Amino acid sequence: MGLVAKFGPARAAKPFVPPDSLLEAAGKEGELILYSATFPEPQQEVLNLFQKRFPMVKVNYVRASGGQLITRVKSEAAAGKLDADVIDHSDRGQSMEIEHLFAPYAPPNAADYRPETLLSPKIWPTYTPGWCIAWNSELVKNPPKTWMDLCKPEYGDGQIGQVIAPSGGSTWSRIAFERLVLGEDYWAKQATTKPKLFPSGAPLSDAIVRGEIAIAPLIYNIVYPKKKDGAPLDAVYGPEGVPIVPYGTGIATTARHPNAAKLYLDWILSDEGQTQSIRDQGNLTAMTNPPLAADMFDPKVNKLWAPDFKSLQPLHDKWLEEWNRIYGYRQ
Amino acid sequence: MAASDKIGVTRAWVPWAWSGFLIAVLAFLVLYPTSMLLIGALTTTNPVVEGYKLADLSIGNFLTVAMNPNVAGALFNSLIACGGGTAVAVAIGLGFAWVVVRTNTPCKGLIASAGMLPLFVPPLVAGVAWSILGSPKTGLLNLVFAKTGIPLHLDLYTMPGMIFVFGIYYAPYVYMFTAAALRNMDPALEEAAEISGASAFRTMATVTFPLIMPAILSGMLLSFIVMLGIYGIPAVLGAPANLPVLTTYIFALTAWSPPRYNTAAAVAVLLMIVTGLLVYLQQKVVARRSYTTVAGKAFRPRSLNLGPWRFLTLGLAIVYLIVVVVLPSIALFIAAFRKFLFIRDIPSLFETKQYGWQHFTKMFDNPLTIASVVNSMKVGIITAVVGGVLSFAIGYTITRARVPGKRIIDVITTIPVAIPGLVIGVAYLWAWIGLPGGLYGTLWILALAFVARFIPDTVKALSTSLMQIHRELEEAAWICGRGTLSTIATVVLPLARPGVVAAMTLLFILSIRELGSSLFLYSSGTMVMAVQLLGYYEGGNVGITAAFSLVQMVLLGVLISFTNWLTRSAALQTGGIARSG
Repeated sequence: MGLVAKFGPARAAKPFVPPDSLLEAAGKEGELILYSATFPEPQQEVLNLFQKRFPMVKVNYVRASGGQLITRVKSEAAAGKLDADVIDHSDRGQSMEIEHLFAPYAPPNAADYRPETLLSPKIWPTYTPGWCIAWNSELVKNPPKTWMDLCKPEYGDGQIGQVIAPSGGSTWSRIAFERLVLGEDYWAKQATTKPKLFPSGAPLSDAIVRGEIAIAPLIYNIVYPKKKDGAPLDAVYGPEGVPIVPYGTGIATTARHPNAAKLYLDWILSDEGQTQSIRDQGNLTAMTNPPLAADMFDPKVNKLWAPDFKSLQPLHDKWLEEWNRIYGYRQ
Repeated sequence: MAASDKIGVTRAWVPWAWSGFLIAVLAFLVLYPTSMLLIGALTTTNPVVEGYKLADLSIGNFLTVAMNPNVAGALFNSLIACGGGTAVAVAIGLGFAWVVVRTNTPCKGLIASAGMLPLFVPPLVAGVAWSILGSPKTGLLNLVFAKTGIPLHLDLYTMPGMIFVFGIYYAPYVYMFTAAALRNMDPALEEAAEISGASAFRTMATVTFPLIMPAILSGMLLSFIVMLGIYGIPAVLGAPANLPVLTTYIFALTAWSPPRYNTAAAVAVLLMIVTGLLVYLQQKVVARRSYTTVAGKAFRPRSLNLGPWRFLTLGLAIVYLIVVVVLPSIALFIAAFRKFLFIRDIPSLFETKQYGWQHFTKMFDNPLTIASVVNSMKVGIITAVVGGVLSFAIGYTITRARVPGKRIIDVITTIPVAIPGLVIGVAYLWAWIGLPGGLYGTLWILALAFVARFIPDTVKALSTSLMQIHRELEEAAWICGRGTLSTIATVVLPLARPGVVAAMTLLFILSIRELGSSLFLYSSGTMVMAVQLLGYYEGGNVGITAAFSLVQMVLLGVLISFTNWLTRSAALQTGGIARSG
């Protein structure tokens, strides 16, 4: 089994040409400190590409899971010791909590981004992964094709794994999609298959590869690298919609390397940066007109679904409580 | 001049100043972060960000926690898993120590070295290794049983499974404490029992083990408390069976969106109360009796001749090593070198095209991997040296010095033992981030946190050694005109040197593996191995996680062999002192 990704040239990607003044200023700063909630491997791949492209800026980064990252950022900022130039978070709800710590910033191609994915003029979706249905291709011969299939008794008896709803912003996007698009009773129907619950997507993706679990909803960027390397994994984007998780990234007001930070964000939000994100990471993009057609994503069949965070925020706790009760997760 | 009067001639202010100094150091390292944790538990805010007022403090978090039946369930599971695990660890560790130190079992040097290997394995990796071996669906052992027709089916995703894995991985803690005590014990006491007609096993049960009871209790307590704070093993083995323990519950609280550190702090305080009670009980038991076994009289270490039974003890040791070292290592090797861990059947396990160096290549392509190794080594050394000196100073003060405030020093030293690592990290951040100067963001702040976190473990380990040295040896030095410092340097330190080296080694290993306090204190330039390992695991890549664990195990193995060699040469020198009386 090899690479099964199919990429199409959606449109001609514009080359990224930063102004000389920015290059010079970033080079003088010589360093960029990134705080990121992204997993170390894909993050390092992105940083390697950036370093190759702009070797005069040395990138150092701190990686922590969502809640820990926010706690660290808030505490450092309060003590006047925030070290980060760029803060990158997968949970936009939590990014909004520290909006005041971000400086005003907009990339040169700001108009290319979907308005519904922009929460604040300071916070930008550097990565936009989407939820898919994944399965172990050695074990599952008749895989589910839709989100509703995950309610079928033939996939019952613990074959399906689920990431717990309170795990963070990514899962919140998915359960909001299930509730609003698939129906108010979707959780109850799906829970009848007695899914096994996992604290996060990473151990769940590993459990599928090993065959402990046969099927699971997962963020595609955790499935894609394994599939690319030949793991017995396959996936599909549900035709009812693809819940997406636009990241919330911005430049800290206290950044000691503001030009290096701007260069990094300009690059990653450009056609060039988003192309590598789609091609190398298995992400989608929040751009209205993507520079590259993503693996497995057929715009005729699949539709992106972005949660409206502001209107959903008041429902957050109530829905999580309901989800926990239905799925028997003890909080 | 009477020996006890020697202290009297010391200027009166010195003991006070010494106690004051130690209490000040401990206040900074222990009391201040602990008070931040308590404040966190009594508020609903981040004390650094939003600040706090005394009027805002409430026991709301405790009430929420106390009324949540899931917390009680997790506490119950923790006590069962760690209690059972401790029983297994004591049975194995004590038996192992006795076989290695006091019998003529063949190859015991090799057995002793190999038996320590589980200490180098991070709990997360231990959990992963045993899930590869003992998963009910895909476990390698189950595949082997099915293939060979053995009617057995393992399921380690259960409470007995967790107890078993806890027990075998923490047996070396009990071994370390009890082996040192057995080695330092005067065999004349056993000989007396045997001359009086007691059998070898009766002697063991009525003389040997009761005499090393402080070491057994210390080892038991340390294993139990370390287990209470372990996240990796219950996260991997307990989660699939929906068996939450306090650490997995606390981790979930800190990982939720938004994170609930204040509730986590309240759960942590409950855990502190439970462990605090245990420590108190242990101290009551140990304080009741005298356990001095190293006196000024010469003695020679003694081995019990087991005759043909020595092959049975060898067989048991080999079985233990296979279970604890060989099987998990095979699982880790397979995970580190195999492209993917989907193993359909036994023949597919041997398909060579499935194996390669890809995980190692990827791992070393990441510049943070090497940086984390270098940083961890530096922090480990700083922690071992600073912590070793401080622990010896405290251990000596508590067990032997006549200074005011000994009890206070002892109590403060014990506090960190009770605080779960997953929560203490945020307490250190809250406490120390505001310090003036450039400490935050350096390796030194990590080292300080490790010293503070592990000071109870090292002080306990050292106190056990110090308690065994009879006061008459020091008194002899004083009579010969030596001062306190000179006596410590020429008599106490050489005699306690194996214990000091063991404590520093323990400190080094624990600091290399420590995750909880590293998570919040590492910076962009000070990535350490434990955080990098968690990153690989959280990234869902068991292959790289296993490969990195193997690298970590090899590194620690080399370093420990080096310190073992140091201890042996130290033992030769101190042995000379003990024998010559």
